[in-house]
Amino acid sequence: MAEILGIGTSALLSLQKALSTTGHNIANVNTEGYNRQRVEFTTLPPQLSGSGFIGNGVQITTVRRAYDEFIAGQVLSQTASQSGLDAYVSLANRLDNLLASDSSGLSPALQQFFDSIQAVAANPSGLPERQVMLAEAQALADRFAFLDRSLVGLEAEVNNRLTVMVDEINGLATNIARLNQEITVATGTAGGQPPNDLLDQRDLLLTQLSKKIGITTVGLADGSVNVMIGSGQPLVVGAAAQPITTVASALDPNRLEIGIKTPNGGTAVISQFLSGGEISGVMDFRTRVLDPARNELGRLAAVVTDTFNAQHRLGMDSNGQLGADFFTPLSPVTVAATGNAGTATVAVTVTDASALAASDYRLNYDGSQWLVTRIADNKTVTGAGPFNLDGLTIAVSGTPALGDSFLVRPVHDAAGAFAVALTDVSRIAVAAPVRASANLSNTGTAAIAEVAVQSATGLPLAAPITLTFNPNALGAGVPGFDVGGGPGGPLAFDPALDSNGKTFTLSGFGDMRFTVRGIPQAGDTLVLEHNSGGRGDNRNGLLLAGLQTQRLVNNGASTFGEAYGSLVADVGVKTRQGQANLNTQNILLQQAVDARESVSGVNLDEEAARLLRLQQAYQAAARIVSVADGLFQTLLDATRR
Amino acid sequence: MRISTAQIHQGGIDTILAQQTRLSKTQLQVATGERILTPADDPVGAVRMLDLAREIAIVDQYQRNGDMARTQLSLEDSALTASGNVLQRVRELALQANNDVLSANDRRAIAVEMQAKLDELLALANARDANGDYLFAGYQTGSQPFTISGGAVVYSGDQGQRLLQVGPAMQISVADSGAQVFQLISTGNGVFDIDTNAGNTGSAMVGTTSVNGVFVPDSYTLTFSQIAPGAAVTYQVVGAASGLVASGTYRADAAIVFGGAKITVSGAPADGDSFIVAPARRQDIFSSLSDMIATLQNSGTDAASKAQFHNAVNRGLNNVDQALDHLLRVRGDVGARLNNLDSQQNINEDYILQLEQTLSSVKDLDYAEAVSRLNLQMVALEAAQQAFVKTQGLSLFNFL
Repeated sequence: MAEILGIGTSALLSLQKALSTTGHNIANVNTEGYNRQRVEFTTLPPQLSGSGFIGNGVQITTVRRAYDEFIAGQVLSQTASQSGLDAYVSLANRLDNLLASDSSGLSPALQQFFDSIQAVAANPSGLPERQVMLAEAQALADRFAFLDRSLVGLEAEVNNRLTVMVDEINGLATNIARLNQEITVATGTAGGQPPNDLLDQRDLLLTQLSKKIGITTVGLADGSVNVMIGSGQPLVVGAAAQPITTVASALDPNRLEIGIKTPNGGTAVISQFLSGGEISGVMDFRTRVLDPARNELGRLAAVVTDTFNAQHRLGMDSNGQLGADFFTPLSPVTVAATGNAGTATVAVTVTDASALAASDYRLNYDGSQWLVTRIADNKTVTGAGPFNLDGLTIAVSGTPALGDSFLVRPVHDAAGAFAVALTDVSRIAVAAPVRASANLSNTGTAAIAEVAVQSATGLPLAAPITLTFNPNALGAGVPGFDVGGGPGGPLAFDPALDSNGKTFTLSGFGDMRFTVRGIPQAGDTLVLEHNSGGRGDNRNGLLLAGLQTQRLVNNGASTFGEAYGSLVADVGVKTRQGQANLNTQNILLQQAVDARESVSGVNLDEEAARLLRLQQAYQAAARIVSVADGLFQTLLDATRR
Repeated sequence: MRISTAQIHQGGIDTILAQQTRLSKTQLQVATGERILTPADDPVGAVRMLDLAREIAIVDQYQRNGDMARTQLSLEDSALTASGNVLQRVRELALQANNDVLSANDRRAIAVEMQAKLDELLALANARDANGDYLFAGYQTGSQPFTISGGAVVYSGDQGQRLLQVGPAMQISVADSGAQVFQLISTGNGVFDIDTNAGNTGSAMVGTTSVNGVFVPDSYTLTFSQIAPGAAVTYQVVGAASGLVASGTYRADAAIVFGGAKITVSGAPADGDSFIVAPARRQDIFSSLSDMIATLQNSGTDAASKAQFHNAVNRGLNNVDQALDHLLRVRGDVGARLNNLDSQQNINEDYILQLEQTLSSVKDLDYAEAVSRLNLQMVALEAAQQAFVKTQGLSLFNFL
């Protein structure tokens, strides 16, 4: 009888706990990170009697979380990938929109600038046209500056986000470490029973942490977990958190990297090891989209500056002087690493803007020679220098120490530094510095055409260069031009063979190239002279305008406009790729979350059914107690007589 | 598979959000009429759009240059036409003056009109365009190209020719220098020129001149000699370089042929009279006119003076004819350039049209497709919303 009462009581107590657990599940249906809990019923040890084992009732051995460690790991890693891509795409989208817009992109400004040059070429003496050209040049500079500022702004934003995220990560790591300790204590106190709600809290923190940074976790026997980032750098070990920090890059103080404290008190940069999480999404955006875009834009600015200046210097302005630099000349930047011990310095000059690559270069001294790395594609050159590569001359002087390094940025800042140097409209070199004429008393038909100066050497011409035809210029019967006014030496020209045009080059006199056509008579004189007063001449203007359609960027691969187009395409493609990857990653994350929810999520219908079942069982157990009471009363009644 | 309550709820919301995102994008496409909203939508298409828009802008600029070139060339053409008319009038005046019935006074009157024509021609040669730049100054468009200095017209421009870019591979010349138009004009018949010795005393006049084969450039002197009055007149032609090339007995209007030249002489040459036949030179139109005016102002009455006068006027007429031919050639050249310009502008226009069509096919939205997509997405969103509301109402607790 006592057994029946005991059995009933054990059932009532166990079912009460089960009902509480179901209630707890229902109550936490909206709690983030909550894993549904289940009580585990087992039979109480039976009592041996002569007729065998008699059951003794029920007990609850444990309350367990519905939890799958493998699925939880999946959710962590997919969360890290998804938030990384999400951060990447949201930043890339902004750059993407910026570059192609009519109002912020470079294309319209570039087009209007060259249109204004055409207008000047059409009316070389018109002051309004020249004013417009300077204004359009300024507008182009403003547009370059705007785009550069936007890119610099994105760099600053990357830095800010890294700083904020490092704080968040450290906060989360501290909380995880604290929970680790609480879990260890609670597990010990409860004699090995799992502290489910603490575990849920820690799992939630781990999920939040993996949104920020990719992590790997290792569970320990005492219930705590160790959290590793990157390639195994510890973030949480048991009850201790090891904070990470932001450090300025040795080669660029404006660029933050992620560092971790080393045992000897220093800080080691671990950015390159990190993968997954917002933090690496943001850094990926910086290295894969932002840096190339800034260098590409800078290269375009550098090539426009250099080629336009080169052509402009070959022209002649309204004052009869040779053209000056139209845009402020390039100044490549070199940065010495903060820890350099030697006295070496690096000087960089641009020798051929068309060959410039859209990249920075890193110089490392290994004790005997320099290693030059083109950062965009990690192509390397070694030697003592000077190095001639990609249209640059990188000269190293002084005594370097082992491990010294430099960063060379030929074009990185060129878009921001792009500026119009010319302020006086009369200094726009629309004319060519040399004009050709045939002496009016010539009896022959020879004329000079297609005069092109190729350097500023020897210009403006001090004296007219005269070409006088002499049938015996190069000896009896060998016709040619006697040359007066400097270059010297007769030029062979046989009217019988060369009347369709023969091209000459006068080196040292603007390296002038010209073609003589027609049939000269003896004594006929052709003249090349300084083009003084040539305000109606637009030859250099046409050449300047023609730069627009020449393929001058990237070793003759593209025009200015095409180079900008390929920048837009590059960012567009990377953004699109990011979006596609994000879409895929969203599905993968959804699947992992679905799998977790399938195991751990609370289903209210299920709990309702369980509630009903437990309620019925409870009613039945109460009945057992009542029956036990009835039996007892029966017995009392039987013995009352 | 087991599904949690939160999952049912979240799944419903996710579907609705995704549908809304798609719908919003389609709506934006329909509103702007553009297929590509950001380069990431279609990086290749976006760059193609940039390329095409740039190409159109460049060709548009060529068209504007072409319009500018047409204005300049038309200006030049009208100046040339006017100059031709002036020369025609000069020619008429010269023919009129060449008539023996006119007196010296009449000729002086004609000279006055001819001087007026010379001034008119000078004004035309100094014509300016709408910007105040001189048309015929070469590159020196800021200073007056033709000025009178010491009684002669001097050209102070240069021989530069301004070009304009009117097509991807076409630059068209929009101006000819004053030297080209008014100065580099051949004298005589274009190949050689006959100068009358100022000391001639006979009445010999040069008649027709023509090239016989290939003219051998040299300075030839045609000298007439008569041993005694009444004797036959003989001639000989001696080249400065080539020596004696022809000789014979003079007969009026009979061809004298030498060194590729064929000339006739009429009238009665006196002993020792001579003519010099030299290769044609280049002479400016103003000197030709000035010479003619000087001739008209000093005409004599004796036979020798008459012959001198007619020879001079005839020579002047030859020069005017050369100038007219020359102007015609320049005008022909200008006309050819205008034709070239027309055809290039047509090509440009076709090209722009093609580019715009291509741009439209890359850039513009297919409205039919987009609107039907919009409808479909609206239906899908509505369905997702209804499904959400209906499934959210289901719970076992409703029946407890």
